Amino acid sequence: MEQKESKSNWVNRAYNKLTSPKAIKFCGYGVMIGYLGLLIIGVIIAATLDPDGYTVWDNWISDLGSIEHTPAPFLYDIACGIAGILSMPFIFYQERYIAPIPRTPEDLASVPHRMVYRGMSLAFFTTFLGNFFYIFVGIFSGDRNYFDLHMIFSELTFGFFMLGTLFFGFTLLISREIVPRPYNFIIGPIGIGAPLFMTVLNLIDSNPLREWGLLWSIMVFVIPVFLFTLRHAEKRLHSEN
Amino acid sequence: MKMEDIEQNWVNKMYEKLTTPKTIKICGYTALILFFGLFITAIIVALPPGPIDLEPYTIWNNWISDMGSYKYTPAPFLLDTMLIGTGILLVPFHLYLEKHLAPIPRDAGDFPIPHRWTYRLTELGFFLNCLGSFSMICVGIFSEDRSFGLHFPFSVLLFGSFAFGAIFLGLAFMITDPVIVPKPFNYILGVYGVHGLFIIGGFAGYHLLWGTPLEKLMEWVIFFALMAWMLPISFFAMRHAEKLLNEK
Repeated sequence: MEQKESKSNWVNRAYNKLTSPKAIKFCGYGVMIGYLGLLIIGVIIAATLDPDGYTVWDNWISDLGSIEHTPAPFLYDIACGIAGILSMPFIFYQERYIAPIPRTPEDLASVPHRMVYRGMSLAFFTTFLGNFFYIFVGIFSGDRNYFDLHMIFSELTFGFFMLGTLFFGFTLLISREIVPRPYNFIIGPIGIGAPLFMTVLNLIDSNPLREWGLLWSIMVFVIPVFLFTLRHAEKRLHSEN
Repeated sequence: MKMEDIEQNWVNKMYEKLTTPKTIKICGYTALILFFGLFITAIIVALPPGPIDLEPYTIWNNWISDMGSYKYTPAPFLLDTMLIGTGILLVPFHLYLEKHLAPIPRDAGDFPIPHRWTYRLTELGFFLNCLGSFSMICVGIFSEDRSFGLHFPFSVLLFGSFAFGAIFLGLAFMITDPVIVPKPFNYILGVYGVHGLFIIGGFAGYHLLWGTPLEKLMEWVIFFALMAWMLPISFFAMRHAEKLLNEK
């Protein structure tokens, strides 16, 4: 693709807009307030108002989206949609800065090793799909589980997120961009090991607590990476101003 | 990682050796001889009624893997050796394809470089192809006679990885400068990689999943469909390597 064409076409303009530090800041705060906020409120409402009592050891995550367990199932459905949509610019941003494509000879100094491109491409693809399927987990919630679609999308979401954290964790180990040293050596192994371990546990014998454990293991990796990405965007925003 | 470190470490030296045109030429010819030589021999040897199974070996009554079992052939090691050998020899090809389709620029002479989508698709295709090669080796090691429950999962992974790898590489061939596969073959191969294998795989997968009487033949159909994808690419890669060698 010609450079001029690539700069002027609308896809590229949309990509540049989506990966601007301003968009990342907006999406970052949106996810933290929207997803984490609604998830916590959803759990509190379910725990206090579910006649059977909602607990993380007796109830699946999906029960948060079912009228049988909470008077406000829409909270979790909306949370899934928010997380799925607003997290997408993050993947593009992380990919853009961790595995940059040089356009001028001056950019050559920042070109990383090929392994970074490999890891980041895989992380990008799997995390993107994980986010995409997460939106459908909300659409086909526990109450709208037509053709068992909720189950299918939940498994796809967890599967791709697990792979995403695995590849991303590996990439962080060999890259210093976005997550600086020595934090990359702490967060990287967590991303590689924790969700994989919890997935294996769930595959052996799944129960509600183990499913929650898988979600937490993903969050333990995703939240710090999220915060470091916000920090990176904030720094870029200051340097642009 | 500093540039000097990258250039000096042994992994990189090995990578450079593995992706030289000379290595590709050697691996290409060896893989072709090994693959076709052993595979055809394995079929011929299996054709007469086996020592335990008295039925002759046919592609509509037998799985490909049956050629790796003493029950159906007196020489199961032929298929095992072919799978292990070809799986190993394909690795330099995957690396070579990746290196030339999505080059990492190191100096100003490497410009212009491909679009980001080329990197995404090529790296995904590369990963899946490597997984396919690894599974191929494992299918040979854990043959029907030494399965330990691993032969079936690795067989599924082998077909699945190569088929999905074809989708990503097919797309990469169509959007990248035709470095390895020249025009118009990149479009023909690309469309086949994206759609052909998907359609054939879906059709054959239906028979395999539901266990119809055609299931064994359908496994062979998937195998031939993969061959129709991989052989042209191997020839184009060897042609590209030959050209680079002649330029030197």
